[in-house]
Amino acid sequence: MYSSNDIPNHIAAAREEDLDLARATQRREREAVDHFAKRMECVPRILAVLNRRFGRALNRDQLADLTQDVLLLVWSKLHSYAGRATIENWVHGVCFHELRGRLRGKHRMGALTPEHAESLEQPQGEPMLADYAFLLDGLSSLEATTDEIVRLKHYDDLTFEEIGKVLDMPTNSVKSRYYRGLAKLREKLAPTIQREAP
Amino acid sequence: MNDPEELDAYVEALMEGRIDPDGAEAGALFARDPKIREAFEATRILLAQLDAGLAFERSTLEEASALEKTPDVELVHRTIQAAALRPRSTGAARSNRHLWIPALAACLLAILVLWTRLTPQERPDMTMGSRLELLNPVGPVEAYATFEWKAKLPRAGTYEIVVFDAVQQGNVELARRASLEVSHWNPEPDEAAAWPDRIRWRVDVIDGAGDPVARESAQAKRAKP
Repeated sequence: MYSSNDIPNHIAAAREEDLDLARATQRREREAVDHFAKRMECVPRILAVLNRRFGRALNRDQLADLTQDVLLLVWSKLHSYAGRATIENWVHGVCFHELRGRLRGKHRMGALTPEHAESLEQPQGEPMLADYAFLLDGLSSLEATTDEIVRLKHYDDLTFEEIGKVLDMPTNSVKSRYYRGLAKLREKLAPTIQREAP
Repeated sequence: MNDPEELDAYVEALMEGRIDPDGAEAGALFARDPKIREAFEATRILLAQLDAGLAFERSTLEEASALEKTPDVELVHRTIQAAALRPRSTGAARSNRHLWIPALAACLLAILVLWTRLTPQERPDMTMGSRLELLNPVGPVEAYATFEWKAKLPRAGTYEIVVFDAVQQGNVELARRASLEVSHWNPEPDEAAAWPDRIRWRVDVIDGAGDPVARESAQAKRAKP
């Protein structure tokens, strides 16, 4: 366990390790590839959980098929991993987009039941998730450090001061970048925001 | 308010609580410029969406790591190791393309000359022992049931089958199954029933290193009831 003072250092170190792992894997260093393969065991796990939230629309074989496609996609995009989030968080975004894309393809072909088609827009028990894909796109459109700040604030629940420690940046700079990022996201996500406005 | 920086400064002050959103100062600001209230309300909704979205991500990852066992764990390791064995396409490799293209052409020419000089009995098997014949469904069929083919599978090899829509232009993919170890595949009946009346299907024989060594495709036409 980490004390609250250690959390920023722990997060910074974990991200640096993940970035090193991604770079070493790209260089095909044997030990790194083995370790990366072990970390990629998260792919079928994430897909299994997401599929359950989408009403189990894919069967076991289809999930295995999708697992392989996601792994190859992650491999081909590995050079773009910048350590802005952990490898698992990054992979989660890829899994979500690919599963949603696969289900949409089935939906277009009329191969989804009405319940599954409905869960495509609103996964079970998560009323705001239709906006999640939008949110991921919005975050990835931000400048890299700003995206990282927003994630550290809302995913890791860090204070501005703690984020400053993770990124080695003055607290005031963190704060101003955060609010500038929110202003950009406000524009980018205007359609989903307006839908919920009073 | 036309100055976006001033607007952001007010939103920041309201979010940070330096201006109480329910107080008189905020009331006067909102009355003077409704854009400030709009931006403040939109930011509150945005923060709720950020929290909900990222909480979804966190809970998915927590649930995923709490699963008792990893599904398809062998597939994960096999796929990553196979990907790592493939040659990298780097900028340097691309810039050397002008060198290896003539070299490749010369090799092909040499093979062709050798080929024409050999008698038919002496000719080597260019399919590397992986002859592939697609058996069913081919031509007119009643339904897309079992997909069957005949091939010699290399050591540690697998098959990959892809089904395409042959009615629409552009190779629209209907289904794909990889890592098959047997020379047949049964699609889900409801899935196959939704396919168009003309399909093209393709089988690749993949060797133990993950490279395709043989490929064949065929068309099938489902008779309308």
